[in-house]
Amino acid sequence: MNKMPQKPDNLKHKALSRILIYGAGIAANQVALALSKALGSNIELVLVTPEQPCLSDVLYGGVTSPESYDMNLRLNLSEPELFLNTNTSFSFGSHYQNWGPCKQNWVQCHHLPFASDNPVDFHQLITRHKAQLSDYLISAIAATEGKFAHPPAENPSSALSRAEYGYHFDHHQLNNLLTTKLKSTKIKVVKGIVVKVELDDDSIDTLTLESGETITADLYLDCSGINSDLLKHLSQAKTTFRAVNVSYIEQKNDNVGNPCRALSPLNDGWQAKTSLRGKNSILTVTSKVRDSLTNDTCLFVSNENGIHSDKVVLGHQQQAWVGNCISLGHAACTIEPLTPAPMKLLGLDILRLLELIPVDANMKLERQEYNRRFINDVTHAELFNKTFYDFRTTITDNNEKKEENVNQSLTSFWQYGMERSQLLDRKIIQFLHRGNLVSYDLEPFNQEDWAILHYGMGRSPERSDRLVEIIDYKKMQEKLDNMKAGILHLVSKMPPHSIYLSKFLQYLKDKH
Amino acid sequence: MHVCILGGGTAGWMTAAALSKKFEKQSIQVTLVESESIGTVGVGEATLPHIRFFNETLGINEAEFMRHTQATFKLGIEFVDWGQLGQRYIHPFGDFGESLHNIDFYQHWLMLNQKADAGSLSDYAFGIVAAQQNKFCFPHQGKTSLQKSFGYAYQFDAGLYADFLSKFSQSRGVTRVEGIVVHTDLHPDSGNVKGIQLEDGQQIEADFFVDCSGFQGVLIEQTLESGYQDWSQWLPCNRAIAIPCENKGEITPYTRATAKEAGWVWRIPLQHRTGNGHVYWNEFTSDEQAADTLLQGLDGLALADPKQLFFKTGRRNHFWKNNVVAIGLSAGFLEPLESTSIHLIQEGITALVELFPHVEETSPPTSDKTLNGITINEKDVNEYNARMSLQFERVRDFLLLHYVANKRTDSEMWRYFNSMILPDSLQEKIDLWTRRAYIQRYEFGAFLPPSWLAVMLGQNLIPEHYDPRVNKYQIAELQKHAADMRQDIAQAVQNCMTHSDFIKAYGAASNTAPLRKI
Repeated sequence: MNKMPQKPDNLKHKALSRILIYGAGIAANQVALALSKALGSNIELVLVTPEQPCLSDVLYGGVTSPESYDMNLRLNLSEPELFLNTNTSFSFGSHYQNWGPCKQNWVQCHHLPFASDNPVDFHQLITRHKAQLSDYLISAIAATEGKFAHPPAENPSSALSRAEYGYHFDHHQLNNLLTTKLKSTKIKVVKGIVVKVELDDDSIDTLTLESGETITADLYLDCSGINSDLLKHLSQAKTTFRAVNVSYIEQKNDNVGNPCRALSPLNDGWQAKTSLRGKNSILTVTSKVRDSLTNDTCLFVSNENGIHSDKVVLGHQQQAWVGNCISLGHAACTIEPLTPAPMKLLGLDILRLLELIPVDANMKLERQEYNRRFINDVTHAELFNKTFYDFRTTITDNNEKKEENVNQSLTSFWQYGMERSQLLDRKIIQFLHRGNLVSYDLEPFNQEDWAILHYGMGRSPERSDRLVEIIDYKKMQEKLDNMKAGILHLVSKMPPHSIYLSKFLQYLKDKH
Repeated sequence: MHVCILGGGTAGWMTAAALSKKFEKQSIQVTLVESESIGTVGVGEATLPHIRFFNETLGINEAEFMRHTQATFKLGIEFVDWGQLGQRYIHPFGDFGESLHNIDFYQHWLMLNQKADAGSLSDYAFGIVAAQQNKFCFPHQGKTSLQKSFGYAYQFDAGLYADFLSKFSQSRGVTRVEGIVVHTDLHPDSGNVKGIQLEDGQQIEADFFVDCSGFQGVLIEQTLESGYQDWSQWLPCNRAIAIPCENKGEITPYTRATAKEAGWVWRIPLQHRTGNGHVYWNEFTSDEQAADTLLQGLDGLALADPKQLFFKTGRRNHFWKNNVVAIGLSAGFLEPLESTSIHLIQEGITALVELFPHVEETSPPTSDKTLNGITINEKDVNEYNARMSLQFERVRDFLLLHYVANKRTDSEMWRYFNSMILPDSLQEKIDLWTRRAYIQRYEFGAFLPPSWLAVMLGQNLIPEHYDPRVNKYQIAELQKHAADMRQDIAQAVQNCMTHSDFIKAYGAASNTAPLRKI
């Protein structure tokens, strides 16, 4: 096998030797920890962190999806460490209550594909038997019953083994934990605020801090939050979803509640209640944006009433990577925390960065590929979120007019889904037409997420896959009845979330 | 509901078998019209691992199928003279090594290869090591994850496979009609195909038609005028000449594709013979020279006269139009460099079964085309066409990669490819690889990152850099891991049976042409 080619010295670009991360919140700290674990000592990592808390971290919604377990391991953060050092609780998903004009109720739970020895997808059987998918989602049932247990990895025949879980977290406590972990790394931490950004053509040359100190790097990672304090000097091209008003408060609780967020609609927005250990967090998103705030700089304030912003412009950079500056987290994309999309996207930003760390100052190809993947990820994450506002339940001409009238009766906040996209049309139409789950390459949300969402929003396919007719109706009905009863029985044996948590913590304390 | 399949061969009988099995409990009548006087192309004899799933869902016994079709196992394709003259590599079914520290193994290998002896990357693919030694075993027989991490497919006589599926289908109620189509009737309002008239006067009416009539596309093109997207600017080879010959030596568990001056030659060893063919561009070689090139390279005596084929690379504008779906060569043609012909048939059948028209019991919506109570829904048609378009395009790009990922300039054809402006989608992939050994991923398509790795590295597209994350790890640690992996694979392959012995021991050896070693 030939050796790799060696370029003549005069054609070599300067090798990457220093990466600077800017920010004070979850994104900055996670990115720093991930890079610290992944890269060798030949690349210096510098974290410049303003000393004020990153209030916009409330926009992560305090919830993660199952892949956060593996992402945390990339930060050297184990589950025991997370639970022992923060007030994190478990999350089987989010419970949407009275959602939309038809007031749907369902748990958008985390679930593995159904194990099936049939030639058709499980949800096709649901359609034929006119059953409720939610009756077969153990994570959804357990969530609403307030129960939790770890899925048994060593017992794949248990219905619970198909459940997946994420976490509910307190953004402040999580960030503190991440900050603490930085101390055991080789990351050089510099406290300060960037007051000046000097450019060299289309790249950042030097940063000047409030203290007067100047810093340079080969690659700058903007994790400063929604205002993208570094990237904005290179590009202000953004795609806007919409502007919202966000407020966040905390209330003490005596016991941790259900392992699912509870989301309920408001006339012009929604509210999410998340149960942690010792407190509940309440996040409210509405359309009550102060029109007098004409520029897009987002300002969060914190007082005795909580954390609040009168105007948060949701959207994303048209290019997350410009020149030698990459925006991650909210600096790249601020998406409505209606689902775990915000933390999911942060995780994807980190993975994308790790795979495309530039080798030298010639970053053109990495930049191009990073931006391509970024746009794919944010487009599909927003598509998923927007589906929560798309109240189509049929595709016949007669009913389209009726649905149009219903949509017109909604407030402007709830009409968000009326602006259609071809990508989403294909998904919804194929699902309603015959239960097909159309997928695009490498979507952040998987087929199970979409199936649960479609059924949750009241969509039922007009017909099931013809192949279900191979399966004996009576036998399958019996099987479904047994499955349903089995799941209910298993959930009845599960401990309440609060008890499971306290025993789990005790076990961890004893072990560690 | 009555479905008429026009054309036998692999496409026709695979479709018939699938429909007869999948819809066996429904009132769907399937008729297949074929003519023995119209020869089938029959050169698509090597397959991809997906074919195993197709057979399994039909409930076909593997050993029985192999006996009937004179099949051998296939661990990959050996490409000779593609990167440069005198070089060869195997594109296996499976990955190379196991990832370490969340980084693909090949990245570590690229670094190790610069600084120490890490062997060939081929040493880390079980399928390649086994193929090189003419050994075979099933993946599930492996003891370690590395020993299990490979796939396999088959090399078989496509004519015998069609015959096997013909019996399978007819035993499940498919009606076979012998005849040649001389006329097609259309519904005046909808433009759907109403029926076909055969040379002997038979009229066959049906609700739905599957056009497996080959390059001519009797229904999809000659009748419904779908139109054809010509891709010969990317893949200009437009002729093939095929000939079987006697087996000689060990029967290899892999197909071989040898690059030539104006095309390439395939070699597919079966139990009873070896299939050979020369795919070429007549711009740069004559038919006579192409035949000579082919004949000169045969392992043994020719067993028939050479068969000449003409084609134009490309695809129909519409794979599904009105009440006709084209599957097989009638849908489009991409040269069989990576054994994709039967795979694309399978993809077409899978999509058709999933989107199969429904029988309406009540009045259908007025926007649908209605035919004898069958609703051809535009949503199904559009979805089918979207899926198959993506499949074809991605295969096209992967095939083109073979022609352009090299430095050959020793003939006019190679110089043509050297100066070609590539589709953006392919150029991007090549640039990212050569820059830093990065492989652009997609989810839907026949060829995933390990395949791209095999071809690009195999054909000497050596990246300038590797993933910088690998620099973190100690060389000694990586060397140990690498050595352990090589040892794991080498030892396991050593304990495997030879390919021929395995076929016999498995009960897959045909009774009519016992495997023999000359």
